[in-house]
Amino acid sequence: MHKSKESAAFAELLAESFPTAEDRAAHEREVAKLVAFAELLIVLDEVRAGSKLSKAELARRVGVKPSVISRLLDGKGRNVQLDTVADVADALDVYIELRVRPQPKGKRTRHAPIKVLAA
Amino acid sequence: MLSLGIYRDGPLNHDALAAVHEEALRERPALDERRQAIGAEIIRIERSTERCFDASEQGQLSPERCFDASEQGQLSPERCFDASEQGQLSPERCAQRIASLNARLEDLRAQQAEPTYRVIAPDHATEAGVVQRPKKWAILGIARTGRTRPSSRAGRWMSGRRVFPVASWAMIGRWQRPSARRRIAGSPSSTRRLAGSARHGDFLTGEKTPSDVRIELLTTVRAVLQVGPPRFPTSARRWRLMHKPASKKEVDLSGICEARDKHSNKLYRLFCVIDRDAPAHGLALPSLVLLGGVVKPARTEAPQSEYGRIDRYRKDYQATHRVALGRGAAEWWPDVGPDMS
Repeated sequence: MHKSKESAAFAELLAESFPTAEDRAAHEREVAKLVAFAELLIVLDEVRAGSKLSKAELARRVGVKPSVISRLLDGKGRNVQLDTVADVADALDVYIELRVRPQPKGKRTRHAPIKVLAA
Repeated sequence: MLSLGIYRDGPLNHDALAAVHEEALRERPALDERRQAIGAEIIRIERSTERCFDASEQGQLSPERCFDASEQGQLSPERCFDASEQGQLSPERCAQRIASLNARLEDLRAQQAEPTYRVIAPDHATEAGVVQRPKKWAILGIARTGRTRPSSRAGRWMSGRRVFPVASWAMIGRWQRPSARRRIAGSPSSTRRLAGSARHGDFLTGEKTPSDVRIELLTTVRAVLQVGPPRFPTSARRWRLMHKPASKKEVDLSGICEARDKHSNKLYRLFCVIDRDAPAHGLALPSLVLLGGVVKPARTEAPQSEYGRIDRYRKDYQATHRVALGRGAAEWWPDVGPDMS
C-alpha cells in the first residue's frame, strides 16, 4: 500500500467535512474497506498476470462468463461476492486466509474493519 | 489503514534486516582493520604524551621542536635530550600540547569502544536506503477565486491570492450554472435544467452538493491515494480514467481521472489529474491534483464548456505550477520542509 501525505488544505477540508470524531472514524472505516477490496482485487489480478493467464481463461476455469471476471478484477462491481473471489483464488491456485479477530479493548485506536495482506 | 501498511511492510522489514546483516558481515574486515589502526594511534599518542611529561620535568625541551616532533609522531627520548641541551621548554605550551593529546586520546578511545556492529531497526534501515519504500502520493488542491481574469495565464495564477490552499478549497470546482434552460447534448428531444442552481455554488462544500456526495468523493480520493493512483483500477465505478473523445467537437479530457458518485438522480464528478513529475517541479511526492467538479442530471452530458473549464484548469496547472509552487509551496506543504520550495 502506498502511503500518502495530504496537504494542509485537504486536511482542513476533511476536518470541515467530518467535524466529530465519530464522523471521521466512520469515514476512515469506509476508506479502509474501499482500500482493502481494491487491494484484494489488485493482488488477485497481479497473481493472474504473473501466471500469464488471460481473463477469459480464468473465467473458463471458474465457470463464469468472461464479463464477470472482467467486472470483478476491474473493480466495476458494486458488491464483491466472497464466493466469486474464493472461486477466482482457487482457479489461480492460491487461497485467501480470513481471520476474525476482536478489536483491542481499552485502546483508543481501532483497527480497520478489514485488512489485506500481501500475497 | 495504517495497520495495512504495517502488515504489507513486514516482508520489506525482514528483507531490510537481512540486507543489513549481510552488509555488516561484508564490511567486517575493514572495520577490524580500522579498530587496529585506532589502537595503534592510541599507543603512539600515549607514548608521545609520556615523552612530553618527561621533557617538561627536565625543563630543557625546546617548545618548537616538541610541537613539531609530537605532531609528526616522531618524538623520541634522544631528540628530547637534544632539545633539552639547546633550549628551554615552556611549561604552558607543554601543558597545552598535553591537553590536546589527551582530547585526541579520549576521542580515539570512544571510537574504539563504539560497537562495530549494530542491529539497525527497520525504520533506520529504510533511512539508510536499504529498503526502497513504495512511492508516496500526495494530494494537492488547486484553488482559484475566478472573479477577475488577468490577461496572461501566469498572471491569472499568481495575481492576488488566486493560489492559496487554506479555506480556498471551498472554491475548488466552482461551477456557475448557465442562467437559461439549455439543451443537453445527447438528449436533443429534452430540455432539462442543469443541476447546481447556485450561481456561485462551490462544488464540494457548496450547499447544492449533499454531504453524502462529498463524503463519497473524499472517500474515493483518499482510497485512491492510499492504494496508489497507478494501481487503483481506473475503470472502477468510483474512479475512472477519461479517454479521448469520439468526436473532435468534444473537449479532450484524456489523462484526467474522475471520482464519481450518484445522488438523487444527479451525477457528481470530481476531476483530478495525476502529476507524476511533481518531484521534478519541487514537490517531494507525486501528486494528485484536484481540478474541479461537474454536476449533471443522470443520463445526460454536461455542456462542453464545463469540460473545457476543467481542461483549462489542467492546462493552467501544467503551465504555471512551477511558478506557483515556488511562491506558495510552503503554505501547501507546511510539514514537508524546505525542499518543497
